[in-house]
Amino acid sequence: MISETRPHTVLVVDDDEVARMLLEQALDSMGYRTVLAGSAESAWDLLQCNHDICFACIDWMLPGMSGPELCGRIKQEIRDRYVHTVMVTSKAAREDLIAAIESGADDFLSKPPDMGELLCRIHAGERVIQYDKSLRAESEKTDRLLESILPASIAQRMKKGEMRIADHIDECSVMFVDICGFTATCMRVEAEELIAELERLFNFFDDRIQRRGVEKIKSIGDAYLIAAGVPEPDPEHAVHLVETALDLNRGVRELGEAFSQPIRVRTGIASGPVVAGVIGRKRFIYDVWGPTVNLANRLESMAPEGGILVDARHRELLGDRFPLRARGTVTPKGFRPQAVWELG
Amino acid sequence: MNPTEPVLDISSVSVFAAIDPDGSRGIARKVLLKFAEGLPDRVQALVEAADRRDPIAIQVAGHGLVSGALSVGARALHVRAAAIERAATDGNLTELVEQLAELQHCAAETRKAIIARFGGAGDF
Repeated sequence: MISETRPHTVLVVDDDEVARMLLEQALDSMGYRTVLAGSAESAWDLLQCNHDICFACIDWMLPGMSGPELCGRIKQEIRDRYVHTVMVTSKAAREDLIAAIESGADDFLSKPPDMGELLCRIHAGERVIQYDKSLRAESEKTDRLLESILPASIAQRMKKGEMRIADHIDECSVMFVDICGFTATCMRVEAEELIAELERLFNFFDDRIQRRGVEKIKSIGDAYLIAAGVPEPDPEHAVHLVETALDLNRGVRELGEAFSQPIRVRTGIASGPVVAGVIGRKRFIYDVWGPTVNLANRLESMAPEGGILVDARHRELLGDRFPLRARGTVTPKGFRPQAVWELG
Repeated sequence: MNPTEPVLDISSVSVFAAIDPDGSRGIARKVLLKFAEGLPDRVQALVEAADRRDPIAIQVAGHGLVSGALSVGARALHVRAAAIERAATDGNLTELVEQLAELQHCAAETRKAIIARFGGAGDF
């Protein structure tokens, strides 16, 4: 038996008022709530607005859309729940049963319905409804988990079956943020205190990143990799990432005052093309690769404590919307000499 | 009239026996009187369809009678309405006049039987 606390609502669709009355009385005596429709069209309207309906007893011959057509439409178009459909008809031939089931009906009952048969068919339908509900609940849990580790649009694509995600992004902005002297701090502070402070800091980072609508790619030890313009294009990626960098810098200063050791971060930002995709078979990771990522990483390591260094392309995209000071030319490992600017 | 099929056999409708075995809730009465109330119109719809020699309309009206008759245990009427529906589906209307006359007579008998068992015209 089903452990539902309230009975399902059953939709009875029949153009014959007497047949509707009979089923209504029968279902009512079994403790089910009923809603009645005299045509497939009005039944369809009820299904759209009453989401409690997950069981339908449908006559075959109806004015307008037929019963089998309604069953087919229910199966094709109702996605938010499973609706168990039973054809209740005066047709009784085997070919009618086959045609009804083929059209999308889940079950078939001849008129007048036998009470015992009606009840056991409803119970059979309720088992399917319960399985469907359990499956949907599990699926929602999986979706939430997937969306907690991957960007929402990437999770959606994977749910639709796209298993190999590798996108070339023409232009985006990539930022590395690293806590200055974290390794030395590790040696001086108790492990529990260190983890608690790092957690507060990273929670703050996560919050700001989410508010700014940019994408946290990953944290690597005490460093953060953040991108704007991935996976979805953002024409203002450069601005959004700089605003995030300023937010994080400010927050770190404020939070750091309450920490066991004063903390500062270094930030490096570069703009340009990247390859973005998902790797891993058992544990998915959304990541970005390419020279733009490497350059942001190198700039971060060259930035002064509390400083934000940006590359030439990023500076060009920002224009004069933020104060930038030229910091000469640097030659990061693996790159030609690069002109860099410091924010602020 | 087909002597093998009773005009009214409420026991063939298991819903009535299951939910209102002694009739104290008046469910069979309510449903059957509703059927009897609408029966003349159902028959009239079939007659009009037959007058137009419109097989689809005959089929639809015939099916409506089949469905209603089955729901209340009007077995003789069900047999006659089913025969007309089948003939219309097959496009064979050669015996329609005779079939229709039999059905009209059967419908009147059915209505009479319902009223005799459950109440008069004033109950409609």
